Amino acid sequence: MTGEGATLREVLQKLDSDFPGIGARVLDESGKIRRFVNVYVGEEDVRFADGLDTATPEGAQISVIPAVAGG
Amino acid sequence: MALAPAETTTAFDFGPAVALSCRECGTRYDLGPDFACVECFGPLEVAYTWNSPGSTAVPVTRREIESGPANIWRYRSLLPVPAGVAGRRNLAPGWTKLIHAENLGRELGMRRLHVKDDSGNPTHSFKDRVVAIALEAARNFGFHTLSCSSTGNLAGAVTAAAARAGLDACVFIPSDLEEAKIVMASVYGGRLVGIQGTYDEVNRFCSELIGDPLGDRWGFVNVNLRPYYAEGSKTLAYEIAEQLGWRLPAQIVIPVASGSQLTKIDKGFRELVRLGLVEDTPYKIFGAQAAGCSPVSAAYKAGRDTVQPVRPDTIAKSLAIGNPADGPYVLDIARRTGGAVEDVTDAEVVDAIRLLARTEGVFAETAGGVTVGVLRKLLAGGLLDPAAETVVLNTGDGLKTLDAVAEQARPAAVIRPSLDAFRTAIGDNQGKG
Repeated sequence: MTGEGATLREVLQKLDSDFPGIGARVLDESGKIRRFVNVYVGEEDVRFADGLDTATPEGAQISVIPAVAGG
Repeated sequence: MALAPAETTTAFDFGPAVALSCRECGTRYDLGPDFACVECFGPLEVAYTWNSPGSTAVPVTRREIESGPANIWRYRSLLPVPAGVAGRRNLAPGWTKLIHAENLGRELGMRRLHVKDDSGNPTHSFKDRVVAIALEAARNFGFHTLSCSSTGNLAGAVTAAAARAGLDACVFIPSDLEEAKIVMASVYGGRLVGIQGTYDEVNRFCSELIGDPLGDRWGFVNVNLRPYYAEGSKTLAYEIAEQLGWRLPAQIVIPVASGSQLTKIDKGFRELVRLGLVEDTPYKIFGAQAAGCSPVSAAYKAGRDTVQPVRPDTIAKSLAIGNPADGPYVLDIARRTGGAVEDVTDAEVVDAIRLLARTEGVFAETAGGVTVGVLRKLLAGGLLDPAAETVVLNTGDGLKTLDAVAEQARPAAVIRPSLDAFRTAIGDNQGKG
């Protein structure tokens, strides 16, 4: 789906207003990214960048991927 | 499809398993090739008849287990597998040696130290345990290809299990792995694909492949079959307790990559207590990481309950997972049981590999060097009780990580085939004159 916003936080807020409940699946009660979710902007895990404040330039792809077990 | 609590499904033959349950929020699902909760992305776990809400069932006795086969299927009543699993085509892993490590214990000043040596499995690592359970799930779901993302050991375990079972295999590894692991993963047939990236990037690739037609009807043992796969690590806990004479060790040191194994060993111990198979005695769980990839150890020491990912740089490649899925649970368990999470440098890993080999005749892969190295460090730091019964895990075979010790493990001399040359080489002047 397509979203809008200058940062990951803004994109998630906008998505949640369009599709209520989506935000709560990605963020916990305190508004942080859930412990078992990996969020990427482009190729970068946002925990290596600025977390929810990571910039989301026009056309950036955001991926939300559940954590995977070891190998 | 989400289920009401305690509802069950019986479409497949998973033995005593009845549903999947979210470890975070408790939402229950039909048994299926799913691994994350749609409500909160929490990991899904297998729920059984005997641990469902309100159940007081005792599925198995010590005697029944003891009369079972000398492999993990002696615990089939506690696993998501059909009753006849022991007669099916699989690698029948497990029942590896628990070595009373008297020499190593003496060197470290410990009285009751044991090494659980899982290099004795069919493909020489503990991964055969988890793959054997995932294989049964793949059969149940009608998958034709067995797959995984791997730091090496899992890839070999998957291709070997697929060969025995007659399934196709396609496995993915970081392309810079140790030569022995690459050879072991490809010799069993199937397709081995090297990805130019870290293990975490291989994982992400596999997560995307699952949603693509290319990966249709593929069982990724550690992704869409993860709830079943992870249960295999419980058998380490069961075996250790049974081999100690049906009791829990007071302390155990476990390597941490994704953290799944540590989490499931804790679960296994708690199940044995709940089912009355062992006495409810306290145990401490210690996690071991390599300093070059120690996100869980760092979080433990910083007092955090979340794990900040890192980019791995260590010779312990089988533990080089910078973004450990079960890291938060490892932190919870270490703190709950009074254990700790510690890390050691690559030099300490090499020293520990040589120490274990020299004292016990066990040649561990780098992950085993990490656990023994952390054991030594925890003892020195006073965090581990030298008098308490302790188990340290070796999860893989040193032949897979020869490079780690190759420079230091060389011949004492290379000589002509003569006694004189030997005397000279060993500095023995007796008999000369």
